Amino acid sequence: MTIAISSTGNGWDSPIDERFGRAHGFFLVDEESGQTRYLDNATNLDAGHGAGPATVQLLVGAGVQVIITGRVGPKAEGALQAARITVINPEHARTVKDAWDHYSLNQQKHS
Amino acid sequence: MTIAVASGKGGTGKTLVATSLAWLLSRESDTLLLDLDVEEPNAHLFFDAQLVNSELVTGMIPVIEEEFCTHCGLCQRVCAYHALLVLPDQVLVFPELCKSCNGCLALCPEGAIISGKKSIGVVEYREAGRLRLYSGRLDIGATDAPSLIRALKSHARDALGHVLLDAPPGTACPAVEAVRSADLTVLVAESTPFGLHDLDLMVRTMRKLHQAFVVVINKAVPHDDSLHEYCAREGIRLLAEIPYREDIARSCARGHLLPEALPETLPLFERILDGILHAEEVRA
Repeated sequence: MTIAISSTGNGWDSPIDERFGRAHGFFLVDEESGQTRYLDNATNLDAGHGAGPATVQLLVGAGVQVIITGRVGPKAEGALQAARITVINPEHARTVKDAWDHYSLNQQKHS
Repeated sequence: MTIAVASGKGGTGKTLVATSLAWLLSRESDTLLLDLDVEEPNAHLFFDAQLVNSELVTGMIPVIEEEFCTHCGLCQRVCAYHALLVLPDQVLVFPELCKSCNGCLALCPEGAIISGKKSIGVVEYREAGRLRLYSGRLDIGATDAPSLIRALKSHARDALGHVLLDAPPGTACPAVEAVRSADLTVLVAESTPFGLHDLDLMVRTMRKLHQAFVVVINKAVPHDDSLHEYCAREGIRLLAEIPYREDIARSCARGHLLPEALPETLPLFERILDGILHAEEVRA
């Protein structure tokens, strides 16, 4: 499964980005292989309208199944639901690593 | 002649000028006034006008025929407004983001997109003596003001006499749509730093559009020459100045027609109208 974390930069120490459609980018983790990569979202960050749906399209193209992010707008919410991407709130996580650790811990609890 | 009244900044007095000129013209001849400020139509408030009818205006939205769709994603890539989201098993359409450009409809290789409709607003028609007035009212949440403005302008095709266009504020698509079909545009500017800044934006927009224009200063205050200096520097003809006066503001706030409510302003508007009708800026 591929997990995306809305992030302000490409690194485990990068602060997470509270925004979804207008996030700077997404830090992607492949749960099975542990491989990571970064998806830049600059074009949607500056979009006049429709940043939410366009960002969902970006994540669908990258095969993302779970997104850890702060605020999701109404259009993006519907789109994420239709794309069957699970939205998880990062709670009090400050960095990508915090958010990932929090997510992993919850997964272990529930498995 | 088609005369647009526009401004970069909001609240400079476009409607004051447009309604005053329309009233003046309609005393002697058939006149058509189009209130193109579809997000905030208010020109009708200045006339004792009866609502004759109103019509619904719709815009095109894509409707996906899933049985023909291969989810290739082309429609999503050509949509500049992100109104389409292509998932592996379905296509989502966001009507509120669609600007009815027809791009997806024209380019779908499978012919899987058909034309649907969404409401974007209404056009209201009123009459007051020899004045005919059309106002547009954009639906709440709708973004496609230019389509509604085009629907309003279609009523000017068979117009007898002069046509006045009360343009929306700003320099973006709605304002451009409003002024592009005018023979002459009157830019109403106010004597403030903000007013000067936005006048300059509008002047640059008009020049890009190759549209003829003149300037009227509203709320003119003594000892402020910034707009005069600007117009002189840019070679723009300054048609007139409407003074900054409390009784004028009161008349306007009450929805009165200024040259009717304060007859001493009548010569001023006659001069503005004369300057417009004989403007050398208008191309033959």
